[in-house]
Amino acid sequence: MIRINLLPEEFRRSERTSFKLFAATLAAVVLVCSAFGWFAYAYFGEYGEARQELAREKDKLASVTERAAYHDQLEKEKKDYEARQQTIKDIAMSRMLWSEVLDQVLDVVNNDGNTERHLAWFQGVSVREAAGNSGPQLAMPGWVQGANISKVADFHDDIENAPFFQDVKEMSFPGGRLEVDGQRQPPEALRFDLRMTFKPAKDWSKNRPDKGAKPAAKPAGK
Amino acid sequence: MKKLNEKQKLLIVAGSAVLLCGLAGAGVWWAKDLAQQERDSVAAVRTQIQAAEAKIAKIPALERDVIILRECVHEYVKILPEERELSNFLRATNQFARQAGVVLDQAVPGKASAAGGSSKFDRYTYSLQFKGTLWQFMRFTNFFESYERFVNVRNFSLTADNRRKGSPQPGEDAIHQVQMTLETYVYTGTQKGKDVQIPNYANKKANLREDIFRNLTGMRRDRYEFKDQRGRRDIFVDPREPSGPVDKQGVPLLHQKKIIDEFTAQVQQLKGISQRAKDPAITIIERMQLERTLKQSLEEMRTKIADVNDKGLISFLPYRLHWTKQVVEQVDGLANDLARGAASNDRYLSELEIKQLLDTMRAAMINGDWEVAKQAYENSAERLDVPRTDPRHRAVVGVMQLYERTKAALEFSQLKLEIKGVAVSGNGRSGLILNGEVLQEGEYVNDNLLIKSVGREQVEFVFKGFTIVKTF
Repeated sequence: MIRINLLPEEFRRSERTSFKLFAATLAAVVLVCSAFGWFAYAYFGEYGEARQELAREKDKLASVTERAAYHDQLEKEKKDYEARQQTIKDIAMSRMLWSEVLDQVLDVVNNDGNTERHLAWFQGVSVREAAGNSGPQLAMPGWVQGANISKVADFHDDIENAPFFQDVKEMSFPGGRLEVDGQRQPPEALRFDLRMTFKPAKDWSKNRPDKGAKPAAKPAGK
Repeated sequence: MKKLNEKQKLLIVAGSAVLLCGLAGAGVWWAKDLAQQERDSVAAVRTQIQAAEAKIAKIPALERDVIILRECVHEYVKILPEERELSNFLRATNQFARQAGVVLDQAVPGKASAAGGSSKFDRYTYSLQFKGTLWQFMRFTNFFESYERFVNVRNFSLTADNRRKGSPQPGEDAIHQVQMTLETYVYTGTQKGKDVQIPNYANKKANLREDIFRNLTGMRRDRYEFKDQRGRRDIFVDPREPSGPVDKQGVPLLHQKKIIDEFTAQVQQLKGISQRAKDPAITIIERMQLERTLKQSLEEMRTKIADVNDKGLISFLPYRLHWTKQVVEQVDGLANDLARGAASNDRYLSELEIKQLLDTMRAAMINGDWEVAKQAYENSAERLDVPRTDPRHRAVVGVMQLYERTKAALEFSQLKLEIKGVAVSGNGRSGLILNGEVLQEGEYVNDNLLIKSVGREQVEFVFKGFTIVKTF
């Protein structure tokens, strides 16, 4: 049956929204509201919280920054002083105490008054400073009384057993040439030329970390 | 306007919804992005805070180190000054020369040079020429090596004194020529800025006294103390005797050796006595006797040693060291040991030792060894003088009583008492013929000797308060 509504439009009853449209609209509204709710949560919730946390952490940082700066100042001052201390240590490491070395040589030569083993004396002593990879060089031309060449060997052995010898890199080989001086009693003496080259400063026993006693170096000769 | 149909309306609704959801979604994405950025910032700030807290945790140790270093800086400045102060260095050189006894001919400055590399110091050198004995040279060198300011002996050369062919006379030393190059340093890495203000500095410094002291002493570890000649000979002098007739004052080498050997043998004997005196197994009496013997022998040895030294009998240089080390120093060592032992012991005998002395004296008196008892007392007499308040006083009184008894017995035994006959009376005084004289009981022979009673086989005397029985 065809139904025709003859009422003017303005007098007609409005048509009901269809259920489909209503449901769709409702769903759309819910979705949109949810979406905006989510946005509000993200913005005011998460982001807001993060901002507050950042503010708190910044306050905390501000409170420790001053102490950290104090630490930096102390660190800098310590480094300045340590630089000087290290310089002193560097110089000390490179310094050989010649009074100690010569005192030990004197003990070896005097040998507690025992002249049977060797009786030595010297023309002089000269020390040249370190150069290149070697340490200082010491030269002592001298004599051993008598014509028995083994006394020269005994003297060299005693030098090798002296404490300072652990810092010696090379020593001249033992040997001697007979000289006769009629104005002396006994007239015979064996002349020899004692030469020693010390190790570089970094290898000296006092500069080693263990500072322990090491076996004396074997004479390598020249 | 054309009316929208349902489908169009639906489309519009859907489209609007999608658009709005999209906007909201974009907003969420944007908000989350912002939140993430904030969280990243928070993480960065936390890292900074952790780093700052780690630094803060190190502050106490840093303060400690800085305080120690700061308090030692005056020492650093002495060792490695920032100013050249070469005038002071030259004055010190002059002072060392005077103290060592060398004659300084020259002290010429060299060129200054930077150490190079990362080292923060400059070097300044001085070339010295001087004359002196070996011992003066050693002292002079040692002064520089022990100087508070760092000085390095870079090189040197000693030329032996060859002016005389003969050995130096006793008491004379050879004068050698020496050339030496010294190097000192100036610190160039000066500290910029003021010292940091450390709260409660004074208290913290007071608490670190020991560490500061340790740091200061640690810095001066690189030193050597030269202990002078110690009887050694100069190794730059020919020690051989000149050939030809022996100097009138010179003693032949064999004789010098003989003197040293004799004295060395005597020293060994004294060492043996000293060892025995320390043996815990011996009695106090034996120890007293040994120490007395040792003391007397050491005094005699010292007199003889002084005599040898005064006469200069040991003139051969190598023998002089032997003499010093094997004889003189050994005798001094024994004397010091004896003195130390006496000082460390209680001045008086202990209870046990007094008891031992009593037992020894009693045993000797029972055996009739009066001399032994007397000697035992006299060996310990010096250490029996205990005060009255000392608990050992009573025992000492007992010892002294025994000693008096011993003395009396010894004196009595020296008396001439010849008894020719006795007359024993049951009721009345008995008598005897003593030294040709007739005497009765109760009569005095002399002021100290009384006849107490006369028996058939013995006579009792009272001598100096003690009753002594003489049998015949």
